[in-house]
Amino acid sequence: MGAIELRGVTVERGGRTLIADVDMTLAPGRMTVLIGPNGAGKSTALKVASGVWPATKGSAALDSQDIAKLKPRELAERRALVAQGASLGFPFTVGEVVMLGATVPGFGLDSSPEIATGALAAVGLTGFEARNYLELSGGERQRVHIARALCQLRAARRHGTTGQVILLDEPTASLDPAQQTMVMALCRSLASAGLTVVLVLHDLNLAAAWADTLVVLAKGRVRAIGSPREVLTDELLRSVYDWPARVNATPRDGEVFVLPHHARDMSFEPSGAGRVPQGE
Amino acid sequence: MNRVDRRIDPAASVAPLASMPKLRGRWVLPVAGVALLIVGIASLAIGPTGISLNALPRVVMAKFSEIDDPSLRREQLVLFGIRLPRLLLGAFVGGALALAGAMMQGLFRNPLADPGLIGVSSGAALAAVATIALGATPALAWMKIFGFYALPVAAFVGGLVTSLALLWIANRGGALSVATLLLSGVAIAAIAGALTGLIAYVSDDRELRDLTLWSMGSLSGSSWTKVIAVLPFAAVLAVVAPSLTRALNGFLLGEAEAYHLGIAVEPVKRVIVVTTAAAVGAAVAVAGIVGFVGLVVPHFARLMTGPDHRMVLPLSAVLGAALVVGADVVARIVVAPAELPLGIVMAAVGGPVFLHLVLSRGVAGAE
Repeated sequence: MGAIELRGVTVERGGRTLIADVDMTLAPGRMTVLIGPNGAGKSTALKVASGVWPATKGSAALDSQDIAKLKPRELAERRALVAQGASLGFPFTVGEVVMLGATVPGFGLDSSPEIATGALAAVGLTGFEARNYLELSGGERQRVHIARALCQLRAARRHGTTGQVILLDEPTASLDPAQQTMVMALCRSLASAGLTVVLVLHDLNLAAAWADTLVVLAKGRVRAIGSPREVLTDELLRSVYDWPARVNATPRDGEVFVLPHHARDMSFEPSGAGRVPQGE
Repeated sequence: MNRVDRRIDPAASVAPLASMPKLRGRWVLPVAGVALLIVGIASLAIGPTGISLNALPRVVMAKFSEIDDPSLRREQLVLFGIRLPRLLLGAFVGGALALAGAMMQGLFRNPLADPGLIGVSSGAALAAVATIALGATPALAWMKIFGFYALPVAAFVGGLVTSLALLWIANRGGALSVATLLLSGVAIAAIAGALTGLIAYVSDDRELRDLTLWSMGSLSGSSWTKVIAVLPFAAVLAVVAPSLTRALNGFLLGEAEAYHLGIAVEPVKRVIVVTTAAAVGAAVAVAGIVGFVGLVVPHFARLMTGPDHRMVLPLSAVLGAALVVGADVVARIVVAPAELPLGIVMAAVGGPVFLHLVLSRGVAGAE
């Protein structure tokens, strides 16, 4: 329960093809991380998988049900999405923002605020309930929106919903390293609890350290799918990002990590935009 | 690592329960209700024929008993023929305008999206003015089939067409652009204003005086007919509003986010646009253009209760009613026995108050 299947998905908007012929399976109990350069179609794939945008061609299904045919209410019970740069211009308290996660009547959150309190605790914001959202830092706001998504899923779960999906678009973008780790560990615990966890990340090391499955997108197409060790290679980074970097493995357990190429160690020539200055 | 793990453990998230805030500012609503009651009584009592507070219950009682007390006949006539419809009209108009303003600000997630500012009132005004001035011409003669509803129907259609045009203009490309919305609203208001001016230019003197007075807003021509004309539109808005509060809260996060939360975005948008346009159109039709209510009252409500629409909407409705009724009392008193147009009082009071809000506490939403 909670598996999302994209089959041959193409999205065209405003005359441009954003993604083309994308196949991917987002499996329950796993953390699937989408990586790729800016404009590769990561957010578009996430929007199709979460039912926000319909596929122009191909199909997107949640447990074999066409996502495009699910009602907003049904979708909201099954999946939560933390969008990029979610913002709110009105002076809600943090507690109120988190409770917005259970906006849909019938989630019945008003009677059980402990769900919201718990969601805040899960992102390390215990005690922030009465703070003004507008006075928070960017990182705190980001975590409030993650808590809102958690609250949405938990509220629906109380009504017996199973097989849930959480999709996060660059959830760590404005977080410091410790908070990044906390959010990733939270995602891991959600996956362990059986949820389907999907993230878009720019930080390759974070992706390599936490992903069960990496999906590499470039120019709207899937370039590679597999475990970080299988997928991350010097060759792939050069061809996808046009970026001179080196993939290494830790001596201890062989976990892969990516180091940007240093100017003094030019073992290959980038072909264009990512060119590093030539040193002495 | 252990420390981090413990912090995110879902089982550990049974955190302190007490601190989650309930609805803020629930005490404000009864206070606003009392304020409405007070200005309502003042509105019944004050005027060229003063009805003392002692006499008020007797006049009312006499009306509903069979006893015909000749000494109270004059007061009865004033109270039930003039004052009461005027009070109700003011309350309905004020409540509807404030409620419509609050809903539009929520829908557009912009604290400036008052029906007046984005041209909905201007569109309604244009249609109503056309009906006043051109109602006798063959082109609009068919409007007579609506009887005394012709003016509200025209204003309603004008407001609705303006709202839909705005949505269409600002919605192109999939997302509602707030900047486009406000700018095109200002443009539409200007176009409607120009056409209204043109109609005024070709009007005769009597029509012109009607139009001028009307464009400043007034409750002076109140009648039961007008009350009945505006009632259904205000009532529909009031009935629909409670079911939209959660959706409006979701809209404050953005349309896409509202959809993620499970809100059927497009139907909700359509309901809001149609009901607010109808109510604003009807309010404009019976009372002319009453500015500031739709803009200032929701702000005021938000300052007191926070932006949760479950509180903002009812509070806006009550405060809006109280404000218009109160302003109408002032309009009757200051230059008695003559009357000031309501719009002048509203602008004279509303402008400085709003400026004060902006300068002192910051407008809700203006980060």
